[in-house]
Amino acid sequence: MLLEVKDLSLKLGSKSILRNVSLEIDKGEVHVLFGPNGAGKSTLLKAIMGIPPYDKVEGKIVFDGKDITKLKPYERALLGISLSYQHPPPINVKLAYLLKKVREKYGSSNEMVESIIPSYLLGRDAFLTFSGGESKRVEMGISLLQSPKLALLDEPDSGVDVDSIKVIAHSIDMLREKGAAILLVTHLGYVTGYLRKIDRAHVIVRGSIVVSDEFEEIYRRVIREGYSSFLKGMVDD
Amino acid sequence: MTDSSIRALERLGADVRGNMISGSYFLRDNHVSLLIKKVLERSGAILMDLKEARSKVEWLRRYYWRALSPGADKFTKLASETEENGVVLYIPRGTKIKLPIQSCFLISKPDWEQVVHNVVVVDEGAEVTLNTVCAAVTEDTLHVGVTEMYVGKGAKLNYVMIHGWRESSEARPRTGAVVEEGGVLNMYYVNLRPVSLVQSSPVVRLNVDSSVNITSILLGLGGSRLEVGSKVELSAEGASAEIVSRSIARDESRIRMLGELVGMSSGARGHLECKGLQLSDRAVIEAIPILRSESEDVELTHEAAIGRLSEEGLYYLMSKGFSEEEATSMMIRGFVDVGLETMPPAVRPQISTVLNLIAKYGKG
Repeated sequence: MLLEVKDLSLKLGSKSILRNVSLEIDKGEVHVLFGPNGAGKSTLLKAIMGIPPYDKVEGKIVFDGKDITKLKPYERALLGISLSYQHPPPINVKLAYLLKKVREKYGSSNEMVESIIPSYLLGRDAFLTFSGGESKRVEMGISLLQSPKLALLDEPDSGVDVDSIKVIAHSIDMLREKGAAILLVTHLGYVTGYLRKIDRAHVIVRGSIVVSDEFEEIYRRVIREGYSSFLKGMVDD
Repeated sequence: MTDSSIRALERLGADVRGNMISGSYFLRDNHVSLLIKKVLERSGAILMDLKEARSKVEWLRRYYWRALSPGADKFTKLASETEENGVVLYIPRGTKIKLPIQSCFLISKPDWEQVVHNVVVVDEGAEVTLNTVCAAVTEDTLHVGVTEMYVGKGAKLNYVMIHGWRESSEARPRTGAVVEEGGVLNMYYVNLRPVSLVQSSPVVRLNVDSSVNITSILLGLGGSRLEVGSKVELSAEGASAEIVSRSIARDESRIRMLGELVGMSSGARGHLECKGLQLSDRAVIEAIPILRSESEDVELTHEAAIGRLSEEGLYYLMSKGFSEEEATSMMIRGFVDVGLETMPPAVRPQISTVLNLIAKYGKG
């Protein structure tokens, strides 16, 4: 198994932000994570990457046979995990410089991302004035440069025009073809329509994974019934 | 030159072998060496030490102590009384010198006072880049450098100054510049190493449709005290100025960024931008922007901000595989990546190397 999240619970102060989350992803698999706003989708991805906000962790994250629960984000990245942010922060670093450093770090070449990252962005501060679509294309490009074993993709299809969605879907296929497993967070599943292969889907609600099943099954239920049907039987704090 | 002197100059990006320059003036303590390549000689340009120029160059008196007054403060007074050495550079009308001219001021004796007076004249329509590197390899030194710059009608002068002193060094550059109609002056200053004190505030006077860009990158390490600013007098119609400062304060350093724009004539435009990065609880950064308008239709703006590195940004970079140290260094490098576009391609690699060093030293 490539990724095993075992009974992971996160707290920030007294507030639970993830509760007993368990998830398994094997090499090369594509998993989709659905959930309403504030359910904990981004938090789960960030927790796998080792990025706060949280101050108490219970449970375990095992990647490629190694317990990474206490590793720093860069150590996880160098083991083969990448995260494409939903909203990358402006970082006061020219995009060309950022890409150069990433290429140097991973020994990758620029050619594969030339069609994904618009060249007019290179001289600008990364993400400072980028549109949603531009940010997401850059994030996908950086993931490709990292050649990860597991790519965590946080809503790469939200706030993006149709042309960019196709580019992003193509990038996800490229990641998969290069052998990466994928955990894709999507709100309404736009990008899934363009993907060639999806193995499994999960629904997260109020910090817990409430169902895991075949993608088609879950997608139909989400579209037909919304997330309210998954809330039945859940107890408030 | 000793190995340590060569290393000190190379670390500041000086072209010690002289491959990519058209000429150089080198002052070690009070010993002058000159290198004038054929391309410079053939152009009719003059590159000379002040001592020689005072007896040989008739026109020098038209420029000598014209952009600055000997009585401006005690250091200009000291210079007017004791100066012997300094660069005298003249670029004839319409002459464009592609490779930079380099001047190096090195102090290699302990307890040494180096007092110099430089006069740079770029005649009508001419263009040149003067790349100045100043360093000390001994303790308890003082450098007083008076520099007068005259940029003729439609001429262009790129002036780079990189400082790499010692913790016990004091440097008091005093600079005055006059830019004639349609002329362009680009100034780029970097302080790279710990120093006891650098105190500098160039004064630039702009005539009709002329412009100046002044970029200062200040790295405060150890107990450094840096008081660096610029004053631009937009004294004629259509003059424009941009002053940009970036300060990084570590350890117990104290940095004061001063900037003053004086709009004296209609159509004058100026922008002042001071940004500071506070990387220590014991350091102090002050940004003091002054805008003064003395005429109608003057547009002066300023922007000042002091902060620390964004935690979110650091985590973002760490998620891409960079250690905290590497992420800090990258963000510092990004913070100081300004003003390079005003510099000619020939000096950009040198400045880029110096900025990489700032990222290295600045991360602590």
